[in-house]
Amino acid sequence: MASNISFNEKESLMSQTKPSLVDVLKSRLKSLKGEDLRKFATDPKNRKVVILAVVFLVMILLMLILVMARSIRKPPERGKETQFNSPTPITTPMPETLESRLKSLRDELNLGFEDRSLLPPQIEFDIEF
Amino acid sequence: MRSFAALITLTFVSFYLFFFVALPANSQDLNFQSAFENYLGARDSYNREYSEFQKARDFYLATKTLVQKENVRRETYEMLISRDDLMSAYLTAIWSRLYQTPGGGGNEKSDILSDLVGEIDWYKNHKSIYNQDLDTLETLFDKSKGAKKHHEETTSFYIYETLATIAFSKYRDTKTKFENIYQEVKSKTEGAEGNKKALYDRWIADIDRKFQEVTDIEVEIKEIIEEFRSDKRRNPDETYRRAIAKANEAKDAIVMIGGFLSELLVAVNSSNGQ
Repeated sequence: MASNISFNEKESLMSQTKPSLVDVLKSRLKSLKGEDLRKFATDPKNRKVVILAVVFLVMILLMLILVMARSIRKPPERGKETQFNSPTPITTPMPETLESRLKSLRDELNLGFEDRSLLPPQIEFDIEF
Repeated sequence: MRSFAALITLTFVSFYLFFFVALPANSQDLNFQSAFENYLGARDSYNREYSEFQKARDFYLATKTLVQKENVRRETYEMLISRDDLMSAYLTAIWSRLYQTPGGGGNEKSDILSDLVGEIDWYKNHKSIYNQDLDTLETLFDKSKGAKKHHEETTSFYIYETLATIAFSKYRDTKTKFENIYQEVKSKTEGAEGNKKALYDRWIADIDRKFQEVTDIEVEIKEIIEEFRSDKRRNPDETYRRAIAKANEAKDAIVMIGGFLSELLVAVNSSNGQ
């Protein structure tokens, strides 16, 4: 008799009886209200919720570490100072005069247009002997 | 259980994509400083490997033993891998420098940037043709010839075209900044009358002539850089040298413009009582 049930019917029967993952998580989280955290975490029924929470916590921690690492490594933008580096609080920036702009441009010009540090490295392609 | 595993996998994949794929495209790849440091590291590594290769080669040539031949084979393999690494690191460094240099116009920069990406990929993929365990010394030499040919016929042109375009972009950026200052100083002379006006007009005419010189040289540099992609292309190093020589020629004129502008500014300020 059981063998006469088609695959689709089996699937629909199973879906009726088996609760979805979201339902499981919801019901588990509801049960947390009545229990203390240690009891909740050690209950085998809550294994999935605990694993998910741990994964999310690890990810958030990783994200924080990466964001902090990037902010430490990032050099301050030109014209901006970080609060840590400036000994005195920054008030309004000094307006750039035409004279100061001319001077900085002439200084820049003294460096020239060619960046010699970018010239190709010495590489040997004739290696046969 | 299957959907639970899928949820965990999805979480990991999305975090992986965010941190290791999306972030580098916005920060590391575009950061010249880190690309340049990476290049310096790759250069040191190549120099070390090349020196090891030379030592092994000299020892093999002196002894001619099978053991020493095997030793030189291993060192050759290591050196060839570090050579490809160095090339891709160097190309990445000049790619990011060009990307960050202001003063580019039209499609010039985007075309070169796109070609450089192709070159970087070429060297990254080329590494895999060497086989550490199966390639004989002679096979490694043969495979190395492919890299030499590609470097001579393609890479060196892209390298020097990039370097020339970086210098040219800086040239145009500097010129534009001087032009902006010039317009501001010139506007201050507009209220002048009589002898003052005649004096300012004479000085402005001199400055205009200098700017024209700089513009003429700019056209010449552009024509030289265009040779990299034309039928006239010859020795890329020599073409680059000519472009830089032209830019240096204009530098004197730009320095003079800076001096003239300072003089004009002092004159205008003193007559305005500033």
